Amino acid sequence: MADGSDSDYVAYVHGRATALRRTAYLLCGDAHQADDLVQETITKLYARWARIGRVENLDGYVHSILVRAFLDEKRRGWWKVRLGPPPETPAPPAAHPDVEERTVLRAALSQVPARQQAVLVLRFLCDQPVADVARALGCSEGTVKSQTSHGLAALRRILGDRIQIGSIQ
Amino acid sequence: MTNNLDDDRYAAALLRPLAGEPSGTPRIDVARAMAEGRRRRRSRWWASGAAVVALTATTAAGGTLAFSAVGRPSPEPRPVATPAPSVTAAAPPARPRDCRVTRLPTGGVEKALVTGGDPSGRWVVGRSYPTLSSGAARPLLIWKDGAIAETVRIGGSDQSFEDINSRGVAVGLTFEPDARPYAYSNGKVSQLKGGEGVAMAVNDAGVAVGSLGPVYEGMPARWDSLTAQPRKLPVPAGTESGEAVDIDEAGNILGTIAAKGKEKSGYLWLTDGTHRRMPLPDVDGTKATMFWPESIRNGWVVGRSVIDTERERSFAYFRYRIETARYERLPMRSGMPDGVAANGWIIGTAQRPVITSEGNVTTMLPGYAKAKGRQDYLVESFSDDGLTAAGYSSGEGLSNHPLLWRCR
Repeated sequence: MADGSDSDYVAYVHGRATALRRTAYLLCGDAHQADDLVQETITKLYARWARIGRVENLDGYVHSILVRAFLDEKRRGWWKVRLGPPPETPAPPAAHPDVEERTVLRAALSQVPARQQAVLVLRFLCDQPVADVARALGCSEGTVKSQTSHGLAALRRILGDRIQIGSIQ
Repeated sequence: MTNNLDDDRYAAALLRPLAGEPSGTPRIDVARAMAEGRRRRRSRWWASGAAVVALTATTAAGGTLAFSAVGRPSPEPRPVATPAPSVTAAAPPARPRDCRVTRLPTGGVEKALVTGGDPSGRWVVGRSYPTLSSGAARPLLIWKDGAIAETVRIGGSDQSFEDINSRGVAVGLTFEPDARPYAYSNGKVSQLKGGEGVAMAVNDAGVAVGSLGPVYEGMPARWDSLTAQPRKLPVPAGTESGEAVDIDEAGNILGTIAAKGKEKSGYLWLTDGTHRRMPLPDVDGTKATMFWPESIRNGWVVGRSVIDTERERSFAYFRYRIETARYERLPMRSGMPDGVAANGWIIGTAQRPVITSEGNVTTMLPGYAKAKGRQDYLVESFSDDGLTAAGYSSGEGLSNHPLLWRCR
């Protein structure tokens, strides 16, 4: 268990950096922004590290810092300009279909309200159980479920018939 | 296309193309995170209005001293070595003079800090860190007239008293593991009603304020007494979260609320039954994005404005008068405001605590000379006469000393 020392902090961050970066990437869809998010998360973590020994579920706690950092950044709107092309201007038809699909999907997802976006990514891309998502967002499981449903509806509305799900078994 | 699929399977299939690993070499800089994290710990800027988690640059490095060294609370408070300043002084001084700092006694415990104090300047509350192995339990301390009056143990973890009134009634919180509001009165610890929540302040009438629900995501609330059911404070439609952070003797309540998707900004619930958002001050011709209040006293509020631009967040310091609804900008040398006295004087934190008195005259309080190395100072309490303050130092090695400043 971490006891609040610097060496524990360094060891912890090195052990979790890859997983944190992956989650950050899935949340925001951009490797550079993912690095910024992880940097912010581990900075916040260090600021609180002194009393970290009292945190029962450290990974869950750090995850929650990451998700909140993502929500904060979305809220401030600093990333708007750096997101991919909006659905109105889809990638050129010559692009590889997978790339195009990803671009359109990511752009659509970025237009879904931030919390709903986080719920969709955490549940369906990070495969996290509803309870974990609820903890990360500081809300009830019922709220996670309703946000899932609203987020999905928003995503469908934004996408229209632009995406065909060919890969569903 | 989704007729035969439930939402979850549809969502998983829809989003699947986005799965993948980030490319390139990570640009994560652990050393920078530690340097920046250390700075934030000191300035606490990230804690914004949520004083509950306003961390204290602390670690459980309390050494090996046993807490049993702290004496039993004495039934009679010790004689006052230095008389407490009197609020009824005939001619209030125009500025604080002869300010001195003393370390509050900790019964031999190396590491302890202050978390609040009362308007008379006689009572101070804090927390001690007896040993590394004591885990999450933090014995809470109540000082009266500069001496330990009580040592209080509350269950749960990361306990703290957030405030105490001039009758010695303290309120605070613990995590069990959800936050729970607590009170201490006449030697007894009791949980405030209402379930999950925190108590942040109490006035001399015994009215406590705080929030109900999860920390960060709760709603502002008040308890009319320590045994009363809480009442949610009214908030405008669309409010997603909020908390009350302070209450003055008249019963005016200061807090913050956040609308959906926004950060928190100042809010007032006044004794005439009205409640409203604090206006946003102008800072050099630009309207602030938010106002983060810290303290309310006798119709004064102090805090800081927040201005967000594309790449940075900047702050300016203000004193606000409820009666006139006017802001008065404080000079940067006043430091970040922590508290306001009944007489309108302000205590802030710069390199050391600073009292700003009439005419924006600033008086820097002395540092604690016995602390080794560079120290940062955090102020948690300011008396109504503007002459007594309590707080703590935070230095290298994550040491803390609970401190009391007295001026004449």
